[in-house]
Amino acid sequence: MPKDHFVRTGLDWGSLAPLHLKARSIASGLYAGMHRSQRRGSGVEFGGHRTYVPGDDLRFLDHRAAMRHDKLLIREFETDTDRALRLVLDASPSMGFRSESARASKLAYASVIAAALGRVALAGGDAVALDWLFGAGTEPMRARSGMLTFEHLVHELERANVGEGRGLTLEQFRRSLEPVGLRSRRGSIIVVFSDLLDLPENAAEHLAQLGTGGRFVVVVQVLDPVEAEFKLDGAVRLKSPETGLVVETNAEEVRAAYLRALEQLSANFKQQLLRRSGQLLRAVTTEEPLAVARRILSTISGAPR
Amino acid sequence: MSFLTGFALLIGLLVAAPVVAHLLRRGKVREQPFVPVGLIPQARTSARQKSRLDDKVLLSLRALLILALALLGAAPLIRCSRVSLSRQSGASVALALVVDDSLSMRALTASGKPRFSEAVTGAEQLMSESREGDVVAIVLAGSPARVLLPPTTNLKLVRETLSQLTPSDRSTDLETAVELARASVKSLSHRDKRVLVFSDFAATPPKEGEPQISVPLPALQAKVDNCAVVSAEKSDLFLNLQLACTSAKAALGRQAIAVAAKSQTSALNEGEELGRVPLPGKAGESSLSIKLLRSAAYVNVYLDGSDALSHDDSAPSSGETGALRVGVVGDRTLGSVVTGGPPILEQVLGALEAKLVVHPLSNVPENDKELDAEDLLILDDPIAFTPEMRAALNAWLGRGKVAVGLFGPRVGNAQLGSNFEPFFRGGATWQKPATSSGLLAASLAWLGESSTSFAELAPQGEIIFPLEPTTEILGRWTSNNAFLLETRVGRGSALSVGLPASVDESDLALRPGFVALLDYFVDLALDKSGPHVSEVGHPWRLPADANPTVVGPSGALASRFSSADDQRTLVFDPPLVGRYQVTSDKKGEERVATITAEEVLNEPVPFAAKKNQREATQSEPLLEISPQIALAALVLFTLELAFLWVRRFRLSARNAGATS
Repeated sequence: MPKDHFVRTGLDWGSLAPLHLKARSIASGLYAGMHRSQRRGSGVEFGGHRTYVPGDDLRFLDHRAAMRHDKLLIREFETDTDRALRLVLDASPSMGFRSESARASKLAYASVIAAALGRVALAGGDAVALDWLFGAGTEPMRARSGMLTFEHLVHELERANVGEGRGLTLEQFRRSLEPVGLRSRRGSIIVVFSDLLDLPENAAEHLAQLGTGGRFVVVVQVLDPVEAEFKLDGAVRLKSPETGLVVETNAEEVRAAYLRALEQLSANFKQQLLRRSGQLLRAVTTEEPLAVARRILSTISGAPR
Repeated sequence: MSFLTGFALLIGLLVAAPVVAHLLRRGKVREQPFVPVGLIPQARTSARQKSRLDDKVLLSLRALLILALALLGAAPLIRCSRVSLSRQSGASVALALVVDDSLSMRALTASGKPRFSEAVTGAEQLMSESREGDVVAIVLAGSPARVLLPPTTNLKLVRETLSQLTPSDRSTDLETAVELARASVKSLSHRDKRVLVFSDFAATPPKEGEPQISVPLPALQAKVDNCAVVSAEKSDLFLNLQLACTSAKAALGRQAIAVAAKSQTSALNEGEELGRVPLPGKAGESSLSIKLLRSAAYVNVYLDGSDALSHDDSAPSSGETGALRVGVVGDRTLGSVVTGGPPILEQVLGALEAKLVVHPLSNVPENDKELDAEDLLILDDPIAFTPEMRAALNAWLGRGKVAVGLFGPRVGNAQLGSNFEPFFRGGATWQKPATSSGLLAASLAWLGESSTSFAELAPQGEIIFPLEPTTEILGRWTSNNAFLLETRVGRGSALSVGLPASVDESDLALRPGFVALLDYFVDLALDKSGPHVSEVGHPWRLPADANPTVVGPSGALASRFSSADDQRTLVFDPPLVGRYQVTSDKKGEERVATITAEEVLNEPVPFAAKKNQREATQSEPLLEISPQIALAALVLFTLELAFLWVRRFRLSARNAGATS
């Protein structure tokens, strides 16, 4: 890696460290809006009675209760709905970027929000899984529930680092996403954290395909303020850490064109995701993580059941 | 240049700093990581071009700003060529501005502007630094010197008066002007009093006195090459010229050209040529005659070529009647001296500076028409006048003439029916003096220093004049008897002197005071009759009840009363060379105003002001221009901010449009 490369060898956590405590803190702010994802229906654990309506399976008619209450009552059982939360984090080199005004690097920022979401999901009884796109020292975590899972999740997030190299090819990207699709059952929620920058062409389409088979995909585009607003002045020489592409230009002059191109890129992803009932959110690393996490939760709440 | 000035100006070298910064910035564009480089349109060339254009404007603004700041540091130490007023402890000052409006001030300076314009500009620059509490008077040094504006605190009026000053062809009376200026500020309560003289000093230098004079513009004293036509007198077909040249160089290759003007008001150098003659190539006064091709009503003369002063290169001609005509009636045997020659009275008249034509007369004419040939009549020991003579004298005097009687022993030999009216009524007696042996100098103080020369006259006799209430006594014997009387007759005056000119009766005619006395009579006659040819600035006195008007080269002249007490006489001061049409009692006459040779030939005398007076004004002062430079710096800074703001606003608007 070149000496002046912007990506630090250790992930820049900035003001978001330590992840464990920060995630707990954010999660505690999210409990007010949380809900249990369990639903009643067929199952093995008794879940209560309800009045019989024509068409109900007579096997679940509770004769004893009918005699006691002098009306027909149907026994109900609770069942797991498999609303597992699968967190997918992009650990490509670009995610290690952090400008001076940002709270932390994009990956650290995404990790905090991901950990907080995981804790909330675990508290609701849902399983949480972790997958990576690219990265160094990253290990996926299979879907698990229980509060120990949170510790495991935090451990995995903390030891992760951005990868080196020139980003993913389409094939690599597709192969990275493949296990995510295979492991996610119907009804599970997939939250992808990525800057969506320097991804191969058709990446949007592949991401959107995660939303098939009853899964719900939320893509959170994590951007540094410099990337989101392009607040640079005068003549600048810009170098991409992933592709090595260098552009020398006048910042004021190209700002409008750049912002248009960024909006176009986001719109493309959004359009592809919407086809699969997915959602695209944007988070700038100067925003309060709690607010971003709430927006994600709110989006998840509107997901089809 | 002091160390501070040098240091401040060295700051100006920092003007190179933005240039260096610009070059460094242009040479090495800062590189920074940026992931979505692929989203940026690659526009290296246009970006550099744009950057260069923007920077040029900014670069200029910032460089100017630095220069302005450097100048601001050195500004109080910068000298500017203008007249300024230095104050002692910032106190108010009493100023008497002496502005020379004489002919010599019309000469062009090295800058191509007339001395007079430079002088007025200097005075105006000085007044721009005056402030409330200052008192200013303006005195003009063109002859006669006069107070144009008495001491006033109305500085606006002073500035207006200065702006309305016009040059003239007068001779210079700087000495009197300075005395007038000193007198005008003498009584003021200001501690700091100054007399500032804006003149070329081509005149008798002013005397020492308090307050001492300051010379803000010594550059006006530079010498110039000039030739002038002092006068031109036409006699039949000859035009007699009097010329004056400051140097032979000024006269070299030039000619005097006589022309016939179409009218009295025609330009002096226009008309049919009647003759020409080359100028003698020498400095000083010279005389020339031009033979005219024909006679003409109005003949003018001008010099071809050019010199430093063009206003004196032409003059109108006057006739022989230009001189004051003096008729002398007396017994030539009694008035002669043993050394021979004309009578002593005529000899003294010839010694006067005034241009006179003396007509010896055997007796007083009995017809006033004959007397009209004279402007002044002097009677030396006359016999009593017959009734015809008295009638003629009364009529002649009533028209504004002057008669002087030098009465002697024959005053008592009046025949029957004869007397000495209009000089005095009744009989006068000639008697041996009792105790008196001279004249009372105090009674003749108006003659100046000459009044003291009449002591111990040792006269053979003394006249006892009969006095009347209307008779004014102008001089007395030491016995207090009247020696000199003035009797007004109409617009004229009859003056009676108690001694004849004859040296047999007294040595009055041999005393210096006698010359001064005759000079007074001549001046009085000139004033009353009005000379046909006079110097520019010489006042013409005309009776107010005759509704006089004077029209000259500059149009109708303004008049003033002779004095606050005497409102019977109007005074006109001709300011320019040329012909004037004088109308009085509906009768018109032509008069000519000429310059003096002295005004042309007097060279500027460098006047060395004392050190403290030099410091009173400065022609190259340290000028405080910091406010102006500070204002310029502020404007530059504002322009820079505005430029940056406009550029940012445009980009914001463009970005907003792109985002929407």
